[in-house]
Amino acid sequence: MVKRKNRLLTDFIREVRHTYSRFLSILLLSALAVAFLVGLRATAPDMEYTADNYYDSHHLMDGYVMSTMGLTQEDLQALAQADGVDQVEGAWSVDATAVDSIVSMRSMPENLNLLNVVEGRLPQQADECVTEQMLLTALGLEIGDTLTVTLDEADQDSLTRTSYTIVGTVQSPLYVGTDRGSTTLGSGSIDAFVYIPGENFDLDVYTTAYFTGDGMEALNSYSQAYADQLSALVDSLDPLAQERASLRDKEVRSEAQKELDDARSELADAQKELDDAKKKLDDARAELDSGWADYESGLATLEQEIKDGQAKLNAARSQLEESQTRYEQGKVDYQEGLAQYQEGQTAYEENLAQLDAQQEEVAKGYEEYYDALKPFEGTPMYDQMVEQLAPQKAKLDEAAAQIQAGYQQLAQVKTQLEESKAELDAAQAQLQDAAQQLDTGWAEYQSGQQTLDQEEARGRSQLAEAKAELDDGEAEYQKGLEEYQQAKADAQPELEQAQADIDQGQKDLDEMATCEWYVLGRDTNSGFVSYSQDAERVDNLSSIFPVIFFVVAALACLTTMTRMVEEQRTQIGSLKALGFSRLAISQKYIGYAFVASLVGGLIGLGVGATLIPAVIANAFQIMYAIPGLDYKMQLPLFVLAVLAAVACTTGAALWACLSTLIDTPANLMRPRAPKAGKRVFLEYIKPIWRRLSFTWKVTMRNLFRYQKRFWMTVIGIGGCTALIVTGFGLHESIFDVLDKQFDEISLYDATVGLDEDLTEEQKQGIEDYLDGEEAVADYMFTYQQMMDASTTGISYDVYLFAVDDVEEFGRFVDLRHRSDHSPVELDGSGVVIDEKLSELLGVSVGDTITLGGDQRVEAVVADITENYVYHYVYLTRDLYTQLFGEDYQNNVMLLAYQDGMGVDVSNQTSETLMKMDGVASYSYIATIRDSFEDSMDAINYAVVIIIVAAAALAFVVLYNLTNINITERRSELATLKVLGFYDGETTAYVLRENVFLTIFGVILGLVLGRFLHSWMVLTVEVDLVMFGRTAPPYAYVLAAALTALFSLIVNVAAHFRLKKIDMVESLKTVE
Amino acid sequence: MSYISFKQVRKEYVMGEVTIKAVDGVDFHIEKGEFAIIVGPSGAGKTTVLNMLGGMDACTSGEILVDGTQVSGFNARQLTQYRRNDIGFVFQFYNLVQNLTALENVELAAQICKEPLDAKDVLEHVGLGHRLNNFPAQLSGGEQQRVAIARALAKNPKLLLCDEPTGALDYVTGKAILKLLQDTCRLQGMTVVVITHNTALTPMADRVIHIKNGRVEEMTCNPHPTPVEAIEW
Repeated sequence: MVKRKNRLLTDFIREVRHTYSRFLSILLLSALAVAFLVGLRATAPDMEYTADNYYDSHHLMDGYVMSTMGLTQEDLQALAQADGVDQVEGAWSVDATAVDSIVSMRSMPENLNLLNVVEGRLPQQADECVTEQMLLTALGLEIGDTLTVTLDEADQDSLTRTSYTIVGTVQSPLYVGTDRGSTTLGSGSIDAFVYIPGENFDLDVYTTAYFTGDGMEALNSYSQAYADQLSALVDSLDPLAQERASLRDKEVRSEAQKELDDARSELADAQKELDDAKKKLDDARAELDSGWADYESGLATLEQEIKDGQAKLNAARSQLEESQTRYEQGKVDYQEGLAQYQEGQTAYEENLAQLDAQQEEVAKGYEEYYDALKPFEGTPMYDQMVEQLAPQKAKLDEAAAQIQAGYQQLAQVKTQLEESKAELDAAQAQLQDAAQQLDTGWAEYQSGQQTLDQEEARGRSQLAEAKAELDDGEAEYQKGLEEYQQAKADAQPELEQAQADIDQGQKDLDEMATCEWYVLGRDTNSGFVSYSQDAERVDNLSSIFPVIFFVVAALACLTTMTRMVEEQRTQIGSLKALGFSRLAISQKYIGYAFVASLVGGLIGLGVGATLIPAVIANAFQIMYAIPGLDYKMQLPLFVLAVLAAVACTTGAALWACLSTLIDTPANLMRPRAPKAGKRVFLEYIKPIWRRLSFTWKVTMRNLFRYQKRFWMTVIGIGGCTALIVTGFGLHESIFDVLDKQFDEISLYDATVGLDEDLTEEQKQGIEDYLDGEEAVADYMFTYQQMMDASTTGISYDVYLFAVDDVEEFGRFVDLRHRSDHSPVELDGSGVVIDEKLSELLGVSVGDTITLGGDQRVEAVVADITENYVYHYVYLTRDLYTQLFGEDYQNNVMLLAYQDGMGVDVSNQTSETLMKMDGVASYSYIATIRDSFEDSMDAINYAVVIIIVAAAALAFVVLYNLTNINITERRSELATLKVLGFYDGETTAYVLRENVFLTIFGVILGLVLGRFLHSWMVLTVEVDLVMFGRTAPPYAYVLAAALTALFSLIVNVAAHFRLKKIDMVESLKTVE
Repeated sequence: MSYISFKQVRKEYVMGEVTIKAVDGVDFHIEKGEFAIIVGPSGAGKTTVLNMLGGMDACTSGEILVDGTQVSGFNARQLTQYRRNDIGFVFQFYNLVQNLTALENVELAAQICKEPLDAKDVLEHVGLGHRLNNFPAQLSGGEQQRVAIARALAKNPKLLLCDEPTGALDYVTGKAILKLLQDTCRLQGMTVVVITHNTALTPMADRVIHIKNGRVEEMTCNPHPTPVEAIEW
C-alpha cells in the first residue's frame, strides 16, 4: 500500500515556515509569559528549597535550649530522651572583642549546625579557628594570620586560650542573615562569629543545647507542616524545661549557697585568724606591760634600796664624819690642850726660869745690896746706906717675896700642868680609842658602801637585762603590731569586700530569678526568619505581576491566533468543502498554536525557572550566607504555567476554528462580509466631529470599529505601562525613601552616644572639640531612648526623642507632613509619631498610644510626621517629664557635618570623639543607609527584572498588535497606496491609530500603575521601613516615554513593512 | 506622439531560480480621450500591463510614456506621485475603505490630489447622490463600484484604469458600470483603460489591445464604438 502523504501536515509545516514571524511571536510571548510567571513564582520556593537543603545538609538545629543557669550534661541527656527530640548537642560560646569587632567565640559543632567551608579548612588543632570573611575583611586579616581576642573581665576564665590561627572562612547555617545576635559588650551587637575547638572552653555548663526533632529534616523548613511540628515540639518540651529548670535551680542555688557558706566560713576563718593575731598581740602587750611594770617596780625597789642603803651609809658616814669631826675636834682640842699644856709648860718653865733668873737677880741684887752694904756694913753709912739701900732692900725683899710667891704660883701651875698633862694623856688615850673606833667605822662604812654599790650594780644590770628583754619584746610586739596592722589594713578591704560580696552574693542568690529554660524553635533564628520573610516578599512581588504579565501575553497570543484562523477562512471553507473533517481542519490551527505555545512555554520554563531565580538569589547572596541555588522541581507550577500558556493560545485557536467551522463551506469560501463601517459615538457630538480633520475622522472610526483590537491593544499596552510604572515606582519608592530619610528628614550625619553620667566638664570638652572642628557644621545634645510603642496588640520598637529646643531640633530632624511638607508642630499637646508607626498601630491624630520602656505610659498622638526608616516618637522635655514623671539627662548628640564631608571625616571625628571621656558610641548615618540599601538590593533585582520583562512584553505586544493591524488591513493600505498615498502618509494612516491606542493604553496603564504600585509597595514593605507610597512623576513619565519609544520603534518597523506591501498582490485577495 | 505608449516593455519576476516573463515585449499606444480595452485570457499579462501603466509596478525593461513623461524610469516616490496625481484606479473588488462612507471614500482620494473634483458632485455624477453617507457595507456591489469609480474620478486623473470592473458584478449592474465608464470617457474626455477577459465587450472600445502570453497579439481601432446598451453577452 502506498503511503499517502499527509498534505495537511505539509500545509502545516509550510504555514509555520511562511508565517514564522507570527509563529515566533506566539512562541516568544508564551516564552516570556511562562518565563516571567514561573521565574518569579519559582524564586521564593527555590530560595526556600535552597535554604532547606542547606539547613538539612548542615543539620541545622530545629530548636535550641538556653538556660539562665547554663545546661548540664544531665540536662542534655534529659532533653535527648524527650519525645520527638532526635539529636542533642551542647555548645559553648562566649563573646569577646577582637580589635574593634565584637565576636562570638563558639565551640566547633560536632553533628548539628555544621559549618560550610568557604575557603581553607576546619580547625584541627586546639589553637586554630575559623571565622567569616566579613571579620577578616574588617580586621584586615587573612587565612593563616593569628586572631587574638580579648575577653571581658567576667568571662576571663571562659577560654583557656585567646589567640588562634585562622585556618579558614566558613558560613554557618545558624547565621544566614546579617544579624549575629546581641551582646553585653561594646556596641551591643555581635559583628562576627569565630568557631574554635570546644576544648578551649573552660566552662562547667553548656551555653546552649541544640536539638533536632524526629523526622523534621524531611520537612521543608519553610512549610506550614514544619512550622506546626516545630511549635508542637517546642510546646511539648515545656514540661521538661520546667522540670529541668527547677532541678537546675535547686542545684545551682544549693551550690551557690554552699559556696557562699564556704566563703562565709573562709571569711570567718580569716577574721578569726586576724582576731587571734590580735589577741596574741594583746597578750604580748599585756605581758610586756607587766614586764614593764615589774621592771619599773624592780627599778623603784632597787632605787629605794640603794637610796635606803645609801641613806644608812650616809647616816653612818655622817656619824662617822661627826665622830671624825669630834675626833678631829678632840684631836684639835687635845692638840690645843697639848699645846696649851706645852705652852703652859713652856710658860711655866719660862716663868720658872724667869723666876730663877729673878731669883738670881734678886740674889744678885741681894748680893749687890749686901755687897753694896758690906762696904758699909759697919759704916754709918751703912745704916744710912742700909737706910739709903733700904728701898732697894725693900724692893729686893718684895722681889724676893714676889719670887717666892712666884714660886709658889709656879708650883701651883706646875700641878696644874701636871693635872693638865694627865688630862691630856687621858684625852689622848681617849682620842686614840676614838681614832680606832673611827677607823673601824670607816672601814665598816667603806665596806657598806661597797656592798651597796655592788648590789646596785647588780640590781641595775639585772634591770638593764630585763629592760633589754622588754625592749626586745616591745620591738617584737611593735613589729607584730605593725604586721598585724598591715595585715589588717591589707585584709580589711578584702575582708570587707568579701563580706560585701558575700552579702551581695546572698542578696543576689536570694533575689536570683529562678532558673528559666528557654526552648526556642528555629523560627526564632533571625537569619532563618528574615530569609523567609525576604523570600516571601519576592513571593508577594511575584503574586500579581506575572499574572498581569501573563494575561497580557495570553491576550496577544489569543488575538494572533484568532486573526490567523480568520485570515484562512477561505482555506478552511475549501478544505471543508473537500470533505475534511472539522477535526482534521482545526488540527492545523490548534497544532500551530499548540506547538508555538508549547515550545515557547517550555523555553520560557527553562529560562525562567533558572535565570530569574538565579538573578534574584544572586542578589540575596549579598545578604544571606546560603551557598548556591538549588532549583526545586515545582511541577504544579511548571505544568500549570505551561499549560495555561498552551491552553490560552490553543484554546483561542480552537475557539476561532470552531466558530469558523460552524459555517458552511460555501459561506466560508465567499469573501466574508466586510465588517460594516458604522458611525462612532463621536460623530453624534457634531461640534467635535466637525472640527476633526478628515484623516482623524478615519482614525476615530477605525479605532472604534475594531473594538476587540482596540481593547486588546489598550489592555496590552496599559498592562505593560502599568508594570513599568510599578517597576520604576518601586525602585524609586525603595531608594527614594532613603534619600528622603537621610537627606531631607534626618539632616544629621552622625549620632554620638554619651555616657549616662556625663559631667559638665566632659560635655564642655566635647563641645570645645566640636566647635574647633571645621568639618562639623552643627551639633546638639538631646535625649534618645529605645522603647516600644503599642496600642492593643503587637508592639513595635521605636526611638523616642525628647527635645529641649524644638527649633534647634528642627535643624537636625525635619518634622513635616508627607503630603504637603508643611511643618509638624512639636509642642506639649502630645507626641509626634511617624507615619508608618501610625499605620501599624492604626492610630491617627488624637488617639492614644502606649509607650513602654521601664515604665508604661499613655500618650496622645499630636501629629504624624513623614518618616521612612525606623520608627520615631518625638516629644518635648516638658511632656516627657509630665508623662514619665521624671526628667532626663541628654544622652545623645546629633552631629551634622559640612556638606561634602565623607566617611573619612566621619572616621577621624569618630576616632577623636571615642577617645574622649563621656563618649560611649558613634554611629555614622551613611553606614546605616548603606546597610539599608544593601538589604533593598534584592528587591531591586526583582524590580529590575520586572521592568525589563515589562518592557520586553510591551515591545512584543505592541509589535504583535501592530503586525496584526497591518496584515488585517493590508488591502485597505494597498488601496491607499494605489490611490497615491506616499509611504509616509500610509504609515501615518496606521500610525495615528497606533498613537491613539498607545496614548489610551498609556493613560490606562498610568492609572493602573498607580494602583498597582501602591498595592505592591504595601506588599513588599517591611515593618521597619515605609516605602514611598506614590510612584514619582518620573516613573510615570518614564513608563509613558518607554512605551512611546517602543511604539515608535514598532511603528518604524511597521513603516518598512508597509512599504513592502505589494499593492498588486494585496488587491487581488478578497477581504 | 501618442498619449500613452508602451515600447518593448518587459516584466520579469524572479522566483528563486525560475524567471517568469509576465510581459515579454509589449508595444502599444493609446490616444488621449480614448476608451481602450485590454483583453486576453487569464494569465496573459494584462493586469501586469495595467499595473505598470498605473505605476503600481515597474517594468524590467522597455519604455512607458504617458503624456510625454517617461513613467518607466520613475523611482518609487515618483511612481507614487504619478499614481497620486495622474491615475485613477478601479478594481474588481472595489477596495473601498470599509470604515468610510461613500462620500468619505471619495474624499479620501480627493484629499491628496492637486486639483480634485468635488466629492459630492462626483458621487452625484455617478448616480449616488442619495447614498453619500452610507458605508460600503450598506451599498450593493454596483453601488460600491460606482463609489470606486467616483473615488478614481474625484482625483481628476489623466487616466482611469479599471481592472475587471465588472468581474464581481451581475450582468445588469456590470453593464451600468461600463456605461458609466463609457460615459465618463465620452462626456469628460477621460482616457479610460479597462481590462477584461470578456471579448464581448470589445465593441464598446475605441481601441482594443489583445494580449496573449505576455505579448500584444493584436491591436485594433474601432472608429465607431458600440454603446454599451447595445452589447449583449
